[in-house]
Amino acid sequence: MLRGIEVETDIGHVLVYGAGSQFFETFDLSDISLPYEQVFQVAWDSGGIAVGAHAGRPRIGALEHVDERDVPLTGVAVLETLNGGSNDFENARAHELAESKKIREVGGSDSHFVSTLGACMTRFNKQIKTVDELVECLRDSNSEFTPLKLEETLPGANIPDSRPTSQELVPHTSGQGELGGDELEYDRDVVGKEIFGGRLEVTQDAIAKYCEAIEETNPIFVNSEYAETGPYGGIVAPPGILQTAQVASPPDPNVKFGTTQFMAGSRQEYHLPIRPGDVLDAYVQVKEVYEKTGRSGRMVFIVRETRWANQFGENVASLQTSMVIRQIQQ
Amino acid sequence: MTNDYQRYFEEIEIGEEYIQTQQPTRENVLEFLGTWSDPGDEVRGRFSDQAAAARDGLQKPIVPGNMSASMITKLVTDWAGPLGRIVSLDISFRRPVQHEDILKCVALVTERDDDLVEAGGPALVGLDVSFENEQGEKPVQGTATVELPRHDATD
Repeated sequence: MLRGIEVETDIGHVLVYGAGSQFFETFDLSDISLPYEQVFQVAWDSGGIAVGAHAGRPRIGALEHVDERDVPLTGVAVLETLNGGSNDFENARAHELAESKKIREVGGSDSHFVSTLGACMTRFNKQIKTVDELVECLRDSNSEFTPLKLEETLPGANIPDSRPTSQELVPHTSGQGELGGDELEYDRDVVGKEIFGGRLEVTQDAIAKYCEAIEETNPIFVNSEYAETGPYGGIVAPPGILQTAQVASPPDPNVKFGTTQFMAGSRQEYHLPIRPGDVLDAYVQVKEVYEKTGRSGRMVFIVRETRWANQFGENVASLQTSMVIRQIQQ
Repeated sequence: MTNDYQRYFEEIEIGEEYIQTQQPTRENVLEFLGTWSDPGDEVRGRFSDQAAAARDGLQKPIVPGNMSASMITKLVTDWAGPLGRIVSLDISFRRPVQHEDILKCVALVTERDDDLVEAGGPALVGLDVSFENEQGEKPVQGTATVELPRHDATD
């Protein structure tokens, strides 16, 4: 495994490999709008290489910034033009950009999950086993590498001389959002302050209602006779039941941004079974507030955590919910 | 009808897939929201009402994120069987799940921690989990860690 980092710049996301300490001393990596020209230059000067990631993706790829602001892409030697998270239209436009600017191209799966690893990749003309070898190859203007898709690596498959152009593909743009430039305003004092959020008495009735709603069939949750012979000596609640509990909100960080919010993610940890008759206390807090850029422009994430403790003071579960706030264009 | 099929750690192979279909209806959503008490119109909003959904730029009412999380939880507990236990679940929502969406729900084994078992620890298995809608989009994706029973520990 070769390690790199992904940073956010004023032309979208940028992958950096093999950069030396100078790079990390120069930039605050939590900044979501680093000056791209400087990022590419310092990465190079410190012995590494920067690569424009998912170049065809709205906002977070270089293409839109070139189209809208005529960014010259000074110092950009390599762009990722075949990205596993981008659609064919976005990849086609990225390839056309690289071709027009005479920038060399790589592919990458952009995998956030094991099962999508290798969807897109780069074929090098020699073996690459270390980050140093990768950097050396990407920096060498005489080296050869080609982006390709997983299916193009199958026996007998060929890498096509040309892929469909953006004209031949169905356009896909979100058209939503805007990239704000101001520093995010919110109440930083409330982050990490845990308060009591309410009490939940777990009943057979609530378990039955929940099981009906999600059409549960696992006998440990729905069949008393079966469950009595099981490891818990009776029915337990499906872990997901805590998703339905209404608890008080933790102190509001009053984020000054956005027009609408949606649930972006959920992290759940389960420590102990939940039984009918349990009395669970919820302790809530805002864990983190941070911002990112995505297809729809600037996004602010608020991560809230609910820690559930039972009547014996034991932690039963911990649920983190990440809400994303976005600016919807009217 | 109940499903009491039990999976054991020793039988798990990396790469094996478990697939089921779920189709959340408006009735399922209202039942879910009413698990503990009547949630009221403010909470139901875009999860049941067309006009409220349209105000948020949605084509039709959507399944609450926490219900999608519950459905993924069910996928994992169904896969694991009655003696299995979810240790953790980490999911992200890429796009809305709409009422009546027919969802192909997939759990794919990506990791089997034999080293931990050999060291006397729990029998943990890693899964990639996802929903795929009829348009081929994956509105919900994530990973789960599950503890499974072992034959040699239960014989």
